Amino acid sequence: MGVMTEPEVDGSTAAMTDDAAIYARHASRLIALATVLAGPASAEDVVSAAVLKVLGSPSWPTVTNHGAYLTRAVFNEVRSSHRSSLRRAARERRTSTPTTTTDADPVPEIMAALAALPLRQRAAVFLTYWADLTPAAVAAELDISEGSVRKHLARARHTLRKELS
Amino acid sequence: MTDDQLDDAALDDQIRAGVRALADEAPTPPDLMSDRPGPEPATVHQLGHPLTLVAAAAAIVLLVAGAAIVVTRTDDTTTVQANSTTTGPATTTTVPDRSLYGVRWVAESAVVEGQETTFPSEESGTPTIVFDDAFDCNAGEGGSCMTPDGPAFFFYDGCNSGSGGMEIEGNTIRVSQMGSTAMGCGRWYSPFRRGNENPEGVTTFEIIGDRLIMSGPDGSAFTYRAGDDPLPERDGEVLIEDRVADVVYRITWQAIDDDYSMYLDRGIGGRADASVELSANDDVPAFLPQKAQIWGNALVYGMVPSAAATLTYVPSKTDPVDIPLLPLDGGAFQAFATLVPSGDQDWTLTATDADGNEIASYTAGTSD
Repeated sequence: MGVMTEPEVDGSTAAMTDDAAIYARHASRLIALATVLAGPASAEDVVSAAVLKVLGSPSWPTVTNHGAYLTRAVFNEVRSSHRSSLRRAARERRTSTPTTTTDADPVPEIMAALAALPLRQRAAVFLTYWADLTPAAVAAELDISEGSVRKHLARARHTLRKELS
Repeated sequence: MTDDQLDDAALDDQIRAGVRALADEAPTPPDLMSDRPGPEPATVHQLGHPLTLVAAAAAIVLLVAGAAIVVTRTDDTTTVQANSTTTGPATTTTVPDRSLYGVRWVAESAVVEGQETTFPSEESGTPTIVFDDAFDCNAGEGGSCMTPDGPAFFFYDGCNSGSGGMEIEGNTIRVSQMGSTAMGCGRWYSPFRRGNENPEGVTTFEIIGDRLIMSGPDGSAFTYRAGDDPLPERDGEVLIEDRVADVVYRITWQAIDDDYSMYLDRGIGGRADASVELSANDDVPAFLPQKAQIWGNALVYGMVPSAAATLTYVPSKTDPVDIPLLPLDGGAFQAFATLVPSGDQDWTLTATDADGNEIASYTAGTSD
């Protein structure tokens, strides 16, 4: 888990304290999202770039849904990255062997197939299956319609089912 | 394992396990707070655009008939505030800067030949533009093969569609090898235009949040907003949605292995009620659409139909239209199809070879 500074209490650093608390609350999800979208090698850079851009903005205090805003910032940061880097990450992922275990061991094909999904499908799948969000909540996180979320999920499931068949 | 064996629950379990396994590879979240500098005073952001007024607060006012959009900017983040002078209170949203590439930019306003035009909502005839940082025609990832590999743009100017290669230096775009349709509509809203107005093919641009501002040496200026729809992914699904004559069209593009498919879903009020599929497979080996996109009221797609000589669009209530195929190097063709549909109109798109034999036919229509 990331090292966070101790909460600051004086008024001059109150905003930074709030930011630290907000970041601490969402850091795990952001780094997991970045890992699924861009690969573990790029995840830290993606999160750093996205979060620092957001926190450096004077309009950041006006944001109400911090989680959704940070999610979109990470998503946009991945999209803004050079496509070749993303594709390289996907290739690396397809050839890598997962070193961790989960409650239910996934079949190898699902890992490669997930990594090969288009970016927005991958984000929808992550937010649905990892973060356990409803389609409406995923739509709010990605700032797209609920119908689009359902479509992305349907296409992702179609692709993944085909890979597993 | 087969489709029958893999029920929904089992598939969900596998997806969940796979996503968790991928996410478990996540490194420790970076420590972004301990070295973070304290607040700094606002700095002036120089935009250098004729439509902008830049101050320490960096407020840019884009005047639209009866309304104003105020873009407040510092560093990399922008506040976009829409103030209606006639209805309701101001609304404010905050948006991170978008990338030039991979975004479908939709025109909001244009100043052409000294006359300002606004596009308050996207509809047929609203100009759009898309930039690709590394277009690769031979990769089968979309676009016109008339466009050179490398950085490229694809635009619809309210009348004509076109594309071209480009070089970017700072905030300047220099155009090369541009091609476009040449319909005489008497109007154009694009920063890229062949002719004396911009002989050097140079345009400047600035991205402010989700707004793209472009200007040419002829005094033309264009403001685009980032489109709501996701742009095509090169190595996966493409989804483009556009509205033509109050009909919502969605195009999805899938490039899976060597099997290319394009799905065009038509719907009214967002409800898909018809679809057409173009596939490159063993059944239609000579018909390979490479990209599909709607620019305004034009359905545009490239293909490599080595045997196709004619492409005909047959609306049910108007006369058939032969769509010209533009020959490309290597025997390939590029097609620009213009759809003029209405909500109750069926249509067929047919490709035939040089002898008039049908290669492929695609139909869309109301199903209920």
